[in-house]
Formats: sequence, C-alpha cells, structure tokens
Amino acid sequence: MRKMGGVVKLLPFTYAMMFIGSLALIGFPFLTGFYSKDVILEVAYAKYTIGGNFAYWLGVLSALFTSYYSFRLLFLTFLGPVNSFKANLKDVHEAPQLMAWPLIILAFGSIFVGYMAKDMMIGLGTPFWNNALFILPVNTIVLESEYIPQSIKFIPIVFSVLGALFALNINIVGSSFAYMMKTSFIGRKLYIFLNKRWLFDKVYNDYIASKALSFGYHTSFKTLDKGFIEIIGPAGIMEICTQTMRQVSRLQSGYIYHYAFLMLCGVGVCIILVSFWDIVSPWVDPRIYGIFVLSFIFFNHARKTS
Amino acid sequence: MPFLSFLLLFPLVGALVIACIPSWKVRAIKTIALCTSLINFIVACGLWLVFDNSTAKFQFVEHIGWLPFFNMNAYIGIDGISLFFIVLTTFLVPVCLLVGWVNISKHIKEYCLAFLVLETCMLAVFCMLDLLLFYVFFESVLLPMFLIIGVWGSRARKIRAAYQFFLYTLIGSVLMLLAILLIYFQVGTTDLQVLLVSEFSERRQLLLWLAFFASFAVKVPMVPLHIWLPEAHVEAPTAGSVILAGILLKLGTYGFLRFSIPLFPEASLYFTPLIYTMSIIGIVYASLTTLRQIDLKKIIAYSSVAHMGFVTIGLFSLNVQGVEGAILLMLSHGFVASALFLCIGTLYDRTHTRLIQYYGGLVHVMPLFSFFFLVFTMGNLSLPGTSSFVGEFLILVGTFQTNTWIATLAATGMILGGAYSIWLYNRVVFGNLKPLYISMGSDVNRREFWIFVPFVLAILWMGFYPQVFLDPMHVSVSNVIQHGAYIS
Repeated sequence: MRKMGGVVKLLPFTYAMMFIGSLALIGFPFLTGFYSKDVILEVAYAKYTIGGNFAYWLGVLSALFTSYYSFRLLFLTFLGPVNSFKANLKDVHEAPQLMAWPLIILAFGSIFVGYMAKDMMIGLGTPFWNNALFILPVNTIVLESEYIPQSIKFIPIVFSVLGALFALNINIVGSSFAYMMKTSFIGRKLYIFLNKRWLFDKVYNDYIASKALSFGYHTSFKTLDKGFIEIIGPAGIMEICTQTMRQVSRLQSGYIYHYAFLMLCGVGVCIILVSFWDIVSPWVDPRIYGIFVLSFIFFNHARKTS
Repeated sequence: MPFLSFLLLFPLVGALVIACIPSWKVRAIKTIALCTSLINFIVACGLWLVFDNSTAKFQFVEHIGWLPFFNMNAYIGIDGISLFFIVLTTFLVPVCLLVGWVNISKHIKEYCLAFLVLETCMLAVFCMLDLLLFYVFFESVLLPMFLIIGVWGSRARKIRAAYQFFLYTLIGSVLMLLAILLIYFQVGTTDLQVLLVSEFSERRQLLLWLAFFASFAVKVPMVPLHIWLPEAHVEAPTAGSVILAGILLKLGTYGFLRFSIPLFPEASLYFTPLIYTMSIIGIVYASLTTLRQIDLKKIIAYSSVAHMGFVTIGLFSLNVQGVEGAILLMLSHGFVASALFLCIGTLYDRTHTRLIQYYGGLVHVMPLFSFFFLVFTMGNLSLPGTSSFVGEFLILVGTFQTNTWIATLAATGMILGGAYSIWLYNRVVFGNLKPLYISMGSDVNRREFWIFVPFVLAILWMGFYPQVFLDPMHVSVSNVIQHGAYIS
C-alpha cells in the first residue's frame, strides 16, 4: 500500500466496492455492520457490571482501530498522493466481469441485508429459524440496551469518525511527522512490536515449536528410534549374537587334547552331581547356570569392545 | 451359500491358473490376476449386500473339519466387524495388481502369485473363527510380504527391512502361540464360539492377555515396537506399502478387538491404562517424528503409527462409540494411507526419488495429481467430511467417557496430525518448481486416475454418510464389549 496511491481515478468500481465494504465493516450507522457491532457493544454496556463495561470500552477501542485501518487502506491506496511509477500504473485494470458481479451482489448485501434481516437474527427473538435462536424471556438485557445513556450510544460512531480522522492526519496530512515518529527510537520499537504480531511468533517458535521439532528429530528419531530401540531390538541382538557366536566358535580349537580335557571335566562334574547330590545340593542353585550363560555372553561382549 | 469359501479359495484358483502359464505371457498373467481379484471384490460386495444388520451372530458360517479329534476345526464366518475388513482387502488387492501393471518388469508372474496368495491369507485371518487357525494365517501373511519387500523393493536396504519386519512380528507371536496352547488345554477346543462363553480366572486372563498383547502390539504397531514399520514401508514397492498400510496394520487391532477384548474382559479392563499410555506416547512421539522426516514414505509410515495409536485408544475405551470409531478409523486409514502411498508411488515412478528436497511446485505441472493428493492429505489430517474425521470424532467421544485426560491429549495429537500433513503437502505441491533437480514427467495417466477415483469416492462417502458403514457394526460391537460391561 505504501507504494500505491491515487488509484481511484483508474479503478473507480473497485474503489466504490471497497468503500462500501469498509463502511459496513466499521459499523457505519444503518449499514449491515451497525446492526451487529453496535448491538453487541450496547448489550455489553447494558449489563452494568465491571466485566460488561470492560468489554464495552475495549470493543469501542477496537472499533476505533478498525476504522483507522480501514480508512488508512482507502487513503493510502485510492485517495492519497500517487506513490508508484507510471510503468506500474499503465497495466492497472478493473476487475473482470466474473469477479465484478459477485462484488456488486455483496455490496448490495452489505448495505441492505442488515436492516432487512435484523429481526431474523437479533432482537427480542423470532420463530424464523424454527426457534433455533431462542432467547429466554428472563434475559431482558436486549430491552435494557435500548435505555442506556444516549452518549454511550453515540460513542462508537464518534470513535469511528475519530479513527477516520486519525487515518487522514497520520497518513496523508501529517505523513512526514508520522515518519519522524516511526523512525525515532521508541517509535521503531513500537512499530516492530506491532508489526511482528506482538512478538507472539517469537515466543511461540522459541519456546514451543523449536522444542517440538528438536524433540522430533534429536530425541525421538535419532536417540530413541535409531538409538535405544534399535540397540535393545534388532541391531543390539544381532551384535550380541555375532559376538557370542564368534566367542563360542573359538572353543573349537581343533586340538583333541582340549576336547578330551573338557570331556573329562564335564563327566567329572556330572558324576559328582549325580552321586554326591545329597552333599552337594545345598550349594547348587539351578539359577547359577543362567548366570554362567549370561556372564559368558556379556563378559565376551565387554572384552571385545574394550 | 458357500460365499466365504469361494472368497477364500478363488484367489488360490487364480494363482494356480497363473502358475500354469509360462512367464513370458505377461499380458495374460496380469489380466487373469486382475480379473480374479475383481471377481473376488464383487463377491465381497455381494456379501455386504446380503449381510443381515440385525444380528450379532456369525453369518455365512461354514465348517471345514481340520483336526476334528482335537476340536480344532476351521470355522469361517463373518460378523459386522470382519465384513468391512474383507471388503477393504478385496478392494485393495486389485489396486495393488494395477499398480504393478507397468512398473514391475521382472518376475511379474511371481508378483501376481504373491499377491493372490496374500489375499487368501488376509481374507482367512478376517474370517477365521478358530483361534489356532487365526494364528496360523496371522503369521502366514508374513511370507508373501517378506518376498514382496525383499524382491521388488527399490534399494539395497530392502533385505534388512524384510528381515526386520519378518522377525519382529514373528518373535512377538511366539508368546501368543504359548497362550493359545494354554487356552486349548484349559477349554479343550480353540473354537472361538465356545471360547466366548468360557471363563478364565483373573490371573490367567492377565497372563494370556499379555501374551496376546506381545503379538498384537508389534503388529499395530505400538511405540517401542514400531521400528519395523518405517523400514518396511520405505523399502517395499508401492503395492507392498499399500497392502502393508491398508491391511496388515489392521490385523493387530483386529486381533485386539476379536480376541483380547471378548475373551479376557477383566484383563482388558486391567490393562487399559497401559494401552492408553503406550498409545498416547505413540501418537505424540510418532507425530513429532513425522514432522522432521525428509523421505515421503517415512512420513506416511510414521503418520500410520500415530493413527493406529488413535485406533487402540478407541478400542480400549470399551464403549460402543469408541469401538465403532476405532473400526471406522481403521477402514478410513486403510483407504487414506493406501491412497497416499499410491500418490507417492506415482511420483516415484517419474523421478525415482523420495526425498522432499527435490520436490516443489508440483501444482504447476501436475494439477490433477495435486487434487488427488489434496483429498488424501485432507483425509490424513481428519478434515470433517472425510472418513477419518468420523472415526476420530467417535473415538474421542468414546474415550472422553472413559478417561478425559487421554481424550484431551489425543485431541492435541490431532493438531500435530494437521501440522505434518499440511506441511508435507505444502512442500511438495506448492512453492517453486525445482528444475535443477527434476524435470517432471506427465500428469496422472488413465490407469492411475482410475486407481485414485475409487479411493476419493470411498473417503468422501464414508465421511458424509457413514451410516451405511456403521449400521452392520452396531450389534456386533455391542456384543463384543458387553462381555466386560458387567464389570465396569
């Protein structure tokens, strides 16, 4: 937008549609937005509680800002001084028919649908939607909102006009002053803060998103999936099996006297266990065999890797 | 009417016919295989049409004597739960054969044989009403899959992936065999219809449930035991991934639903917190891991882990909504994940790479493909209007009634699902073309178009009018979970 300006002469239809739309958006009296926005604000005030008042004033403030940016858009793009090169302005053309007709229909809707359809939606209740929008008779706040002080009722439209005037002053009339404000130290800080969406993205990215993404790769994929789970799963079991088999196959030394010695020891142990079982049995717990096997596996594994 | 034995044996007949045709008659082999599987699909749809929605009894029951002296007979029958898995299986096998129509150049005869035999084994798993034979066929699907991954996979890592897939699944199942033997020695038969009315003591139930869990948890897959899945999916050919994601993952959860929950109700209730914990960890873990993957197939593989986490949460909520949602999510995942693998296969056929860094801006050159990919991506992230939404919503409704914390955490898992799906779609389809890496081929051709269309129709039908799919399930699901209802 800062590179556009004065396009109203080239795009009158587009300007008209945008103007109608903006007016409806800011809640201009008796257009469509009025019947939704101002009713909400009035009903909020009519609660006469602190929360209701809070909602009202914040809503009115947001109406001010809405009007400010809508009119800023209109001023900078259409009504302000020209800020672009002629080469760009040469190719500007109106919307094609396919887009123009829906825009016309929507413009008519923005203007008239509010008044025509207001009783269908807001108000004291209607059987129009087969009583889908039902208002309990004890909620008389809709009536109450008709009797709030007249000044309170004027404030939204006053603030909208104020917003438009601010837009005119800051962007068109006093634009050099605004530029000086924006490039001052505190103005720059405020501008960056608001431009970066209250730095929400930074907070979100640094504290949540980057943590989640780093978990997804460093923790869950590398350390757990391809690390821990692989080690207690296939890779680890394969490793232990090959190590153990290598160690066990080294027992086959090929020398007959090795085999004969082992046979002698084995037969000796068997005979002792069988014939002297009553003496030996308190010292033999079958679980010791399991411990022998496991320690053989892991002793060899540790020795190999050390 | 011997519908079910026809359904089971007809692919074997087709396989026999193909086995007798010489290997160079490629056209005849492919046509016969495709016709066999299509006829099977039509028969399965006929089964669906004449299915009686109003009873939970097993329908189309047939009795084939196997070892009558030991009371181990092959009873086959379906009820509301199995019906849709049979339709899904017979739907996916013709698709797999079509996918290999031009891409598989070597051993096309063995390819068709493997898929037809695989079809019989998978259908047998879903119809078998005998515990031991269920186990036999449950393991038998590993054999053709091992061959499919090992022979027609795309890179050298396929051997490792095939071994890992086979051994992981088999080791878990050894415990299940011991449990089946224990059941047989207690009850005297392995017939499911008898087992459903026999009681096990609570301690025994806990042990038996754990043994069954060891087998099913690997197949589902649940998180510490899931690492075979990314390997197997990535290294398998397109059709292999389609069948793996579409059917084989559902075998585990089907086992939970058909055997763990009705036979061991107290144990299911006892172990519900375990399942919930593992599933929630699975959902969050797998979703976060998906976000950081760079290989197209690995993304869909890890997202399958997350979706199956949802399914197990729904199953063990032990109320009708949760279980029906779980079954519907299983069916929907069968369509969506298979379709996504088909999309990736389409891309892989043109460029022979699966790394995302080489893709971008596909919408400019392949707009029709981008449309299909969009529909399936929306299915993956459970957009309302697709079948996954109905499934996940019902699961959340059911789980909320059992345990509100788990439902909340699972709902946050859905957010992550949206994150990785949209990001994947964004990086591949939108953005700038990368002509430095790939010069794109053509848009989807006629064969691929007609493969995608039934998936889109199925996903949208199940999303907008799931009534048709949920009606046969109501009574059967109520029957399955009422065994445990009197406890809670």
